[in-house]
Amino acid sequence: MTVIKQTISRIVFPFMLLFSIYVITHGHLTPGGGFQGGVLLASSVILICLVYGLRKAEHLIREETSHRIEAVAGILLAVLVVFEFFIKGSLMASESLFQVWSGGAIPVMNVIGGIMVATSFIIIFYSMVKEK
Amino acid sequence: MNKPLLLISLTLLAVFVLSVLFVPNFSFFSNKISNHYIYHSLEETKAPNVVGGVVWDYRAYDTLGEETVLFAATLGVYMLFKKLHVRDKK
Repeated sequence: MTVIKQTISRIVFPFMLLFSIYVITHGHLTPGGGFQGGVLLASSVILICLVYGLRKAEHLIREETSHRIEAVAGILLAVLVVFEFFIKGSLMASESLFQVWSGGAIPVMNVIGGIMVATSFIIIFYSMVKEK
Repeated sequence: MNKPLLLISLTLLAVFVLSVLFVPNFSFFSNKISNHYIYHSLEETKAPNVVGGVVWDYRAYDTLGEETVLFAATLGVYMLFKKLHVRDKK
């Protein structure tokens, strides 16, 4: 890729990462949530892979690592959803509304679901890129 | 012409047409539940974002199914591009 694209994506990449973490962690307060923030997180890795090549993107996250993270996140999410009724009161318990540290099990499931969405999109992109 | 097949398809067609004809008005059933979501979501789920509350609290099983669909789609794309499909061995 040209120097212009490399420079612009080098500037934009940390902001994309930061904004995706903001969207995921504020999923119970502002519009957005796990799915949208996860897609943002995946697209920041995809941007690096498109501009700098596959090797630089594999420095960020390798394919086997994303496989493992997705499996663990899927199991955790299933367990959380099944037992949500019992752990809702004790997880991130806070009486104050409109705070990041509140909302019961919703922020935890937002984070885990966001990680799962991000890794699955990264896996889809990697398996399409590496196809021979 | 296969007679029982024709009978089954005609019965299904009649059922679908009748169910379309007698469908109730929009929000006939769901008006109560959507009003409940709007007015009681903040105190029940402690989440100001009503959409987040509905997606992750009231309908968490639906969201789990969505994630399962995403997982299956990822697995399908991975198998398609890595050529991992089962072949007959000779």
